[in-house]
Amino acid sequence: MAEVFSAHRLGLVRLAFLLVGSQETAEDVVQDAFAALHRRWSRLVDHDRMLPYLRTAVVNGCRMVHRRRAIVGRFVGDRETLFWSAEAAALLGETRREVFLAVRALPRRQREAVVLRYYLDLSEAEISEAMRVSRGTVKSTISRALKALTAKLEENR
Amino acid sequence: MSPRIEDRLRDAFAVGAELVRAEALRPAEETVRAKVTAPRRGLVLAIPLASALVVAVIGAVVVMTAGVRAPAGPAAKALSGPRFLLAADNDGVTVRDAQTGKITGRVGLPRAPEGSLREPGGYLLAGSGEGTTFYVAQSVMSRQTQVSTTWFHRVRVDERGRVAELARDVIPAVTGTTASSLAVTGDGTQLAYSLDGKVCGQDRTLRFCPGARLTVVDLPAGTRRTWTTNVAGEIRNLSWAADRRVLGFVVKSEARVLDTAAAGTTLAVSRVVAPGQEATTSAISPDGRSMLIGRTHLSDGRQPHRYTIDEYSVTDGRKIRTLLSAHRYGKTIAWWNLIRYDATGRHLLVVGNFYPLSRLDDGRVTPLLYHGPSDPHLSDSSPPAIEAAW
Repeated sequence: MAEVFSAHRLGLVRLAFLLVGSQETAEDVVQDAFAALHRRWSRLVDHDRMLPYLRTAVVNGCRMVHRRRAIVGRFVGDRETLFWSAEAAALLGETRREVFLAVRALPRRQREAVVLRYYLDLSEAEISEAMRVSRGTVKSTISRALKALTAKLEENR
Repeated sequence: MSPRIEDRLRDAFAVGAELVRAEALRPAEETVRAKVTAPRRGLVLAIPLASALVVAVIGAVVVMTAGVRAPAGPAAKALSGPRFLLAADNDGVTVRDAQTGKITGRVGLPRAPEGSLREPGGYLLAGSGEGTTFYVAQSVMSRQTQVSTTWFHRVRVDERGRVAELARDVIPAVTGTTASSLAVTGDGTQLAYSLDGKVCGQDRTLRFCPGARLTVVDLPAGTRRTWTTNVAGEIRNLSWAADRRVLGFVVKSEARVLDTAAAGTTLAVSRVVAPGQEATTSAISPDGRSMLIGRTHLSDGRQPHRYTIDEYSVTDGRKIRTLLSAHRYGKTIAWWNLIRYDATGRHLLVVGNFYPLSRLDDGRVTPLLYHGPSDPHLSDSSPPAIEAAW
């Protein structure tokens, strides 16, 4: 368990960071994923498949963050400065920031699929497992996402 | 599909991910320790043993995760402060987890006689500020006699958020007018409550007339002291400073403080904290130096209108800062109903007529309970009232 934590924590925090936009929140999400893994440790049949399990937990955790933000945002507005915000633009450069804003504007499922595909370079099978959808859905979701991104980013040029 | 887009995605994700540096991650121990709340019952013995074993074998990282209760949610950080709060709505009084708002226990109060109840359910709540000891007052007005009776009960909560003790009628029931506010000192020795003045007029001319009363009961001694006011209005939002001497409250849109040890029998001896500032609610800080005042800003003519919680110096009435600001679209005016400090003064509970019961910790708002529509901006009718204390 400690080895898994050391080996994968940073990568998982980065995955969550790309999905939720805040390092602090990303670390919380990953911490929760490891805590859940620890609780289920004795029931896990295949200990070699911890990474897929953790990825799924992180993706689910990020969904919950977005839901929570949507509810809180109705009352108090956005309070977190996300890394793709204007304030943080200097860290990324304007061109990359455009990409993040376009990705952020995608529907939730498309956003997750492109991050898993183009950040982690996961196969369709691995993405379908992480997102708990069929491979066909992964394929069509990524296709639609790329189409939308192309339109959006070309429009900005 | 355009390889160019795919390349741009790979490049942006790679650079974006690099913003998270390994050396900038929270230390693993700290990360996990921050979330530790209470060990599960069955793990009480297992935790130290397991911790020692795992420390020896695989290091501190995993040890600290052992026995951690399931966190409230991925985005929820462990919040310090009281673990439980008491909340009342029209369905009754419940104990709730102060981090998630989930019900941990229900308070089985004696059945009140038939009559008119002021929302929510005629209940007023007060707490010691530690989330363990609470007082509940319930006022019921007889429809035949128009006389109200108020009963006072004490509730103690155990470490799992269940009701450990319900002491009924800790002081004799009070008859006359309806109770409008309740507060108890941190040590639980001084209970303050206020009663409405008489109500005058009928239908459209119905209004409060002078005669509201504030009473402080010394619970161990069984003595009481009462102040009256000739101001036509309710006394609301009673709150104690930790010195068990100074009381804060709002009467007729003025936030005031009263030295309960000073001479006098009327609230004329109390002092306005922020003259000229209309207050809808208030709470005095435990150290007695400042007061939070809930205000609605209509005079600036802005739409949506703002409603804020501002901190003022009790000494000189100077505004120190705005702690929380919210806005509302629509015709119905928004205001703050309740502000409660915890015993340390570092954590707050707040409720507005369109604002969920929320806690405020170092500027961070966590909504806990809301009975209204999913988008409060779309509705012009206030959600059902909520009363709360910790």
